[in-house]
Amino acid sequence: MPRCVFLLGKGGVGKSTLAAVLALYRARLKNQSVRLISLDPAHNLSDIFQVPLGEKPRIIIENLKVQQIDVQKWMHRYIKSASDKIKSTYRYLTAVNLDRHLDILQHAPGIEEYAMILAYEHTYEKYISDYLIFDLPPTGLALRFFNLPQLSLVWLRKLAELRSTIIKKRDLITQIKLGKKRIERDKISRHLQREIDRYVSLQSIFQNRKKSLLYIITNPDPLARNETEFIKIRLGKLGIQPAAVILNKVKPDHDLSDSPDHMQTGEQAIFKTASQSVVGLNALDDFITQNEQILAGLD
Amino acid sequence: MTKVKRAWQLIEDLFKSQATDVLEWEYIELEHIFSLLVYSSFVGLPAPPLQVTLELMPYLENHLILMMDKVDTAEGPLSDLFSQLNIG
Repeated sequence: MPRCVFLLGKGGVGKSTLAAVLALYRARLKNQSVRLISLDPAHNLSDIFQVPLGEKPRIIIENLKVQQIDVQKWMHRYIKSASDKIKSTYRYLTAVNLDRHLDILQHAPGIEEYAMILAYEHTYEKYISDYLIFDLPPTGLALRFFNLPQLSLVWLRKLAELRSTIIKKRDLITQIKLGKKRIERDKISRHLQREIDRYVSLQSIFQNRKKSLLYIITNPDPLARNETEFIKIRLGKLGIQPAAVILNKVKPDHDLSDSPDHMQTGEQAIFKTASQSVVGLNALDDFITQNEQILAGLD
Repeated sequence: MTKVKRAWQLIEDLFKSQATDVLEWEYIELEHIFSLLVYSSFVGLPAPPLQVTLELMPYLENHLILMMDKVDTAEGPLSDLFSQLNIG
């Protein structure tokens, strides 16, 4: 299976640029097959590579394909499939305009991060690459994305436990009434177990550094640094350890001596860049040449 | 002999039915709790993530009917309990 790389951080710190840099570095210098995927609705990758991008992967150079996931499209696809299943069971409810009630689901809390999870699972299972690099949306949504498996597992495990008690009780009644144990499969239990297995597998990908690397991107300004601390705490609660904190957009003459402790732990990479943005393949290649050592240290 | 067998069968069924009455009531109550947890957003309780509820819905038609039935006895839970336990 491919190794995943996730980049997250405050909006505007340079996640998309560094995702492009990392992808190009691995594809060109390490000769690894890389797929760079944007889950960020801001879709900055087409500006960075200066080519139109969409759901269909586009070959940028040999070994590097880039695509932008349309999270809205995944949301609609999911709501449609869920609605169809519900409608086929609750046919009699069509009389009360079930469609109208289900349409509102797209505005329900939690749907956006679940659509991201679905897109992620699809990408992870379908594409054969050495590396899948994910450019994530800004902090709020990205943290909800990482939190969803754990939150779902809390509920699913409780429901599965209760279901097991219910089945034991039901089996006991059947045994007394019929005098023998009737083997009856419970569809709900099977569904709950399937979902538990699915989220456990997702969680193991996020928590295992051999399976995924998570980089927090930050800038040398107090707001970005505070948000980085917040991200580290939240991820820590989910059992996810970032592989590195990357300090980006550091001016060449910037004094880092006032950096808080987490900037001096030695696990972070520091990218000193001039003020202009890195746009186009040539600029990305120049950036890689200037920072090759730092990039090699991120392996 | 057949009559004795029938009488014995009747007595056995009667005891079995009495023995399972309370168990069945507990079983239905547990199903209610399960439905209540899955559909807890309907009644303003902390709810599971939306996709957990949505994906369970196709399996829970009977649970939804049970919940609707429960609304009828919601006002008198004690009388429901007493009638199940044959008190009063």
